[in-house]
Amino acid sequence: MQLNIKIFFVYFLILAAINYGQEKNENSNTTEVDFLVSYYEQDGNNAAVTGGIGTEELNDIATQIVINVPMNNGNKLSISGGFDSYSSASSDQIDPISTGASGQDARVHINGAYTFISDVTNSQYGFNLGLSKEYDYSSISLGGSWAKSSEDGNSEINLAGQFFYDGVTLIYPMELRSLTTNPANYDFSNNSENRLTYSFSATYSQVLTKKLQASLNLDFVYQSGFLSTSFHRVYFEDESLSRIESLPNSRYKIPLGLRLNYYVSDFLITRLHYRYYHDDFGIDASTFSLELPLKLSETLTFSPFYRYHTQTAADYFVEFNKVSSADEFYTSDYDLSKFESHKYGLGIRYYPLFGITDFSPPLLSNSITLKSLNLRAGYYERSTGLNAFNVSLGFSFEVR
Amino acid sequence: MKKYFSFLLLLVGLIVTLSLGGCSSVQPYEKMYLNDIDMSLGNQKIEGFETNFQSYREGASGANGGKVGGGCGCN
Repeated sequence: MQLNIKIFFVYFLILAAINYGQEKNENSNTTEVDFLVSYYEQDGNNAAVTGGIGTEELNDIATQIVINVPMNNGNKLSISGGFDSYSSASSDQIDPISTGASGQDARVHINGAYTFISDVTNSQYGFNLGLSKEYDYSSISLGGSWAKSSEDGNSEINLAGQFFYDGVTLIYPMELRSLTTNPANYDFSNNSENRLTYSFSATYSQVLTKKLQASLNLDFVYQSGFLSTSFHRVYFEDESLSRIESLPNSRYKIPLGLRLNYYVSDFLITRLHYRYYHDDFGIDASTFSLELPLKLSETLTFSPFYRYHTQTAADYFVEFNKVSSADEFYTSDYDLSKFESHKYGLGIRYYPLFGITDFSPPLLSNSITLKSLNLRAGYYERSTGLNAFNVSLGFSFEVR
Repeated sequence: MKKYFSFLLLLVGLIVTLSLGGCSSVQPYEKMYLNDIDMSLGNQKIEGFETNFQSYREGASGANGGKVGGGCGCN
């Protein structure tokens, strides 16, 4: 009941934003609204909740609304909100004694951003605020950004900073909650911890020719606080009982990405992306993706895509029953293991010039045009044995 | 050795890309191809869900407009 109230509150805020935008926007461009929905499912045999073995079956349904409101003074207001609901067979194993449906959880999130735009100086700056809440995790974020274009508009630099203050509710594996001896000296009376994340991003974009443009994106992320997951188990060869995953209380990440988009012809565009990643957990990774939008007509585009990812294991990764309990840090989370992954998929976009249909819903005095439909589906497979499928549907509207 | 080769490849690509930047200046009226929606240098909104699940299922994240670790129980 409480969650339903939160969901309705988020969507009420969004409707209010649309109405506010219309009042402020009588003589400006239209308000753009995107409604997105996604379904995700996965399965594998290396669940971290059960120490790196056991089912990873999970499915998730997510919805999101994104509203962009151009203001009368040329600035921009953007609001997004969404709701995710998932069920997980492995989460149900946090307390394996209790019977019932697989572990379930839901998340509600809302973000707002305001951008000041100056055509005189070819620059813009903005700030944003975000809130997120699920059963055992809450987050508040603050951020700012600055961007400047060259006089001819062929180059742009964008700097952004973001700070996250997260609260983690500690949920321990059932069998450890009433230990008479505590070999790892956990403080089970401690029910919550905090996690801080600082991120800085720099992006440089450059038009190279009439049909080619590229961008370079460098992020630097620093995290501190409780970085483990309190219900992830690790089993040791010299102990009969499991322990809770133990990771260092700080981490930095440095991803560097390069994008290259080329307009081959009126029928074909190539979109390339490469990312190199390094962190002090010992993970080095390379990711390569290629997408080929094929314009079948003036209103229909098919976009097949492929993504390849490879990473080394974190220094603290251990397999089930393969390590001594003398180590200080350890995890059996296969997301931090060495693996390769492949993702294949197809995107379809339908976008008639004057939109698909118009309508006037209740609560709004203006008309809405459904401008385009977007469908995207992909299959993901990992060398650890995990497989996943994701399908997303997007509706783009203009509100006048 | 493999990670250094990957980084070197990226650096070479970067140098070539930036050096090409001095070859021509594209005027606004010549940008009809660059303004195509599929030529956008960012991800489409609908790709956000894939970027999210990849940040949960992989140890690497960032440099793609998606989550970087904060605000979620992801990696």
